Amino acid sequence: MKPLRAYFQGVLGLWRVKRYILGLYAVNLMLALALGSVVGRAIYRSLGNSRAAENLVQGFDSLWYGSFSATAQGLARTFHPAVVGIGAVFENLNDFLQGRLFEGEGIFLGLGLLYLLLWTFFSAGFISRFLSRAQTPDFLQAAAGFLGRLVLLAILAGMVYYLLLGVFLDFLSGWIRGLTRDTTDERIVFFLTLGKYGAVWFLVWWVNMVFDYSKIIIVDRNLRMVPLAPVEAFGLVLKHPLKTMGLYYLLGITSTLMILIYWMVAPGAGASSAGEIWAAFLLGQLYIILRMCLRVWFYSSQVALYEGLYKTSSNQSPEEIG
Amino acid sequence: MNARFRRLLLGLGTMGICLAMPRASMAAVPLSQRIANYQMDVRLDVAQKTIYGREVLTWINTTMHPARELRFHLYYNAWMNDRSSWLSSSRYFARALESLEEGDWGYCKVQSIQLLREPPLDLTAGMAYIQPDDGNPHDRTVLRVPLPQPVFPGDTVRIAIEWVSKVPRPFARTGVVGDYYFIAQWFPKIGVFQEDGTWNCHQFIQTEFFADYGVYDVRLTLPTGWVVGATGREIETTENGDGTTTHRFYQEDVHDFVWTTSPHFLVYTDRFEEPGLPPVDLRLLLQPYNRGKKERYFEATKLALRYYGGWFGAYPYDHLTIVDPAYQSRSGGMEYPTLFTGGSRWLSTSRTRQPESVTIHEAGHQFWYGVVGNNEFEHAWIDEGFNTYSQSRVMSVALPPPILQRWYLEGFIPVLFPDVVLNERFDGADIYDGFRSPLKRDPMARPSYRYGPGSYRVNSYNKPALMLRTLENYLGWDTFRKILATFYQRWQFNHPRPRDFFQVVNEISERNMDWFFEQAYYGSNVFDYAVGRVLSMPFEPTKGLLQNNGDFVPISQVARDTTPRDTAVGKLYRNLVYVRRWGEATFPVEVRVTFAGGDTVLERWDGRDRWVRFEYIRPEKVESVEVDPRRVLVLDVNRTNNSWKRNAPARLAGWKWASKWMIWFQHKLELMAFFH
Repeated sequence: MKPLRAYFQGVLGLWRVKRYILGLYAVNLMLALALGSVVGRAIYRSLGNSRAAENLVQGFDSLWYGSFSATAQGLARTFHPAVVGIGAVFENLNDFLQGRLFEGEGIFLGLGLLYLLLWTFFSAGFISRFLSRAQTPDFLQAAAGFLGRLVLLAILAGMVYYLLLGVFLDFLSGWIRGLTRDTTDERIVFFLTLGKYGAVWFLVWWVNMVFDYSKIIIVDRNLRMVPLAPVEAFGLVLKHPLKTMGLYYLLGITSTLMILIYWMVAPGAGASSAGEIWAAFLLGQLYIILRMCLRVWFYSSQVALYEGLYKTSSNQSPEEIG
Repeated sequence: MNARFRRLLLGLGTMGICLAMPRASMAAVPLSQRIANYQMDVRLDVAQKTIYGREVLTWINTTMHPARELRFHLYYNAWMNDRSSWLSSSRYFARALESLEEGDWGYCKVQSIQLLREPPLDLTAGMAYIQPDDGNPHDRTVLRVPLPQPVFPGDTVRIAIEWVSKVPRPFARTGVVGDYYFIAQWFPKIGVFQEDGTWNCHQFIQTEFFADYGVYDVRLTLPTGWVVGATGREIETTENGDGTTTHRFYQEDVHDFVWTTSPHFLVYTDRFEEPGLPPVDLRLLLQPYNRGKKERYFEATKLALRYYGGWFGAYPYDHLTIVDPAYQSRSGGMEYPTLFTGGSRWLSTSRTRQPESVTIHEAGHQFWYGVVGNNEFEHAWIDEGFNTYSQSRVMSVALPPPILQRWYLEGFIPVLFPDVVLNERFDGADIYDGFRSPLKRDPMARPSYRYGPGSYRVNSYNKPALMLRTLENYLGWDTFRKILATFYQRWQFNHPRPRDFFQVVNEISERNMDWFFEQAYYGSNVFDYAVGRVLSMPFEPTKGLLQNNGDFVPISQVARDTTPRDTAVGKLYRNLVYVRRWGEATFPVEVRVTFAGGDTVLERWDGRDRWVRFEYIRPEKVESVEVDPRRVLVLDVNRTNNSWKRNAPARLAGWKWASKWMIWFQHKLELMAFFH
């Protein structure tokens, strides 16, 4: 099977799991609403009956923000005007690329880990639904049945991510710092920095892909020995590097395109009527839903490719391999 | 009598200095007193990153007191080790020091010092390091040299000093990185002998500098082919045939000398010409990667020369060198006489205001610092505050308003948010909110070198800029411009103190503004006026008893329209507006009250009591109240509480921005899910 075919086959598969994607989105939204109401109340209280309220509706008021940020407590401290429009994406991408996504307020770390657990739970369900000969076709039954093993796999993956983003990235940063200690041309340091992130993220994405296939292998074969799954997946990716990576980067390009489109259409600070504010919010929600679909699309396409590869290139069935 | 005598001494001394200077470069009339004059021969050893120098200092005692010793700044010794007062007091550098290597430290070692007379007298044995400010015995930034006999009022001494300066990795905007040298505060420099007969020669701790004006005639021997920029004009270039070239720079009436060299600079020239102002030749030394910013550097420099020149007085020199600092050199954003460093990231666009903001600021320092030479050790706010105020004023009239920008991926990539419009720096003090405010840590009047942690920046830059803006708003721009122009003209090539400025304010405005300076300069109380409660109550029929023919009778038995209040029932509102003073500092403020029909009333309150109440019996309710609607008192630490509006859309505003925060948070969760 070619990556492009798996890519399109994957998108068709999304319809089969729409309920569960919406369920995940509902959790995401509920968490955001709970925390957002705290931030919103802090902004509301800070504004009172002042004219700054009008300014904030029409645009922004940096004098108000000066007072607000100087006195903000708890979650309200995380409010910054750069959350507007594409800033909501770039602020996080910046932390993501630099391996700092889990830093900051403790509540973000806690909720982030819970959210990871939820996705780990749902992963087996998604994969099971996408596999044509799944041993446990029921979504929730599969999700529950494989949770322990996928959590173990996630811990293994987390250790590798830590090595890459915590240790290797730091090592490369230190190495470049030493290498460019006397460099006076910003361009050299800039391109070396780009190269650093390129190298690290090539590996991170590669590892991510291997662990995606590891999950598929665990669910497909009901594999009990979790550490074997990444080894098997590693072999699969090594055997079909162009196809597996081609599909992965095709989906990556889709993600980039989504960001670019959102950049073009995301409203800025100017939305001033209730209707415009709601429209901006709904557009943001659409973007979040599409991102979640994309995440499931990875599974859907990768399962299609996985099954296609075994049908076309091997006489063995997946069960026999295990 | 004393003043006449001093002028006579000064004239004789200056005449002597002029005779020793190159004729082609001499100004017809000295602009300054020319107290400290240097002739230097300097050689840079690139391999050793070391400067070998010899200077002949010609110094005139213009005071009425004999000078029994000389004191010199040896600023480079602040980088000798981490026991110096500068490094041991600076928390910022504690982390940076960890990455320093052995060859990165710097120093300035005086090898010999001679009194030039017949015969010359060696003073080397008597010199000693002193620590007049903090007594730190490890600090070697001030050198004391006793004299065999005093320098009497009006007398001139000539001192020859040989020294070696090891160039450090950049500290405080001086040093070397790669083959980029930016050399500032690098030579043994005499302190200022004050009118009271004491030396003003502080240790180098956290401030900038202070020196007398004079003439600098400096020969720099550098590798051939390297581009050099320095204070003054290059008047002579000699190839030495040994791979080095000697560049001679000459400048009159300045109080410092700085230079930079690198083989990589691109050199561009331009000329500032503006009706009513003298032309200025501009020379730009640009980093190759910033080639595209050439015009932006020139235009920003011209903006400063045009506006400062038009508002305060002309730039008195006919040339100005702009240096685009090398990446990682930490030499950007600093002023020196007739030369300044800008600074810009490679990918910065014009809306980032890089390099415009820093260029206008540092070019502006040519006026506030270069021409008006205050004591930056003790009154850093005079140049930094005046200049921050002036820079903000130029930017507010000549550039688009600032917008939010974020620099991503380790600060390399800018992303702009054009519809998040920000305020200029002098528009408000809100960031220094409330009673935890850094504005309260030290009064501005405390000597700058004694400011506590976090106070230096606020008290030297932000608070004085806000103080000057408040004065401008209060006195009116025309009057305030005259004040600044008078101050500039009166104190050019001299060393004004804060009281000199206050005197000019009172004189030109013809008002005594001491009450304001007592609070804003000598005190650390903050200003905070606020709208308190606003009540609009409809009149209701009177309840209770009324006296009728000597008896108290129920009001229901009295004809209702006999009381004026009852005639208002259903027609008028009793509007009460409370305005409060939360801060300890006081300032007269206006209060604008707007009624539902659009009518407005402007009240004036002296702002002294803790609160004031305004009452209006009108057919409309109060719609909005604003304290200080013209934004005169930009020192107010909380602008938000200055206004009140009926049905202000706070809930909608809260929802709008919380909804954006939610999308940010949801996206954060989504990215976290990548690692599942």
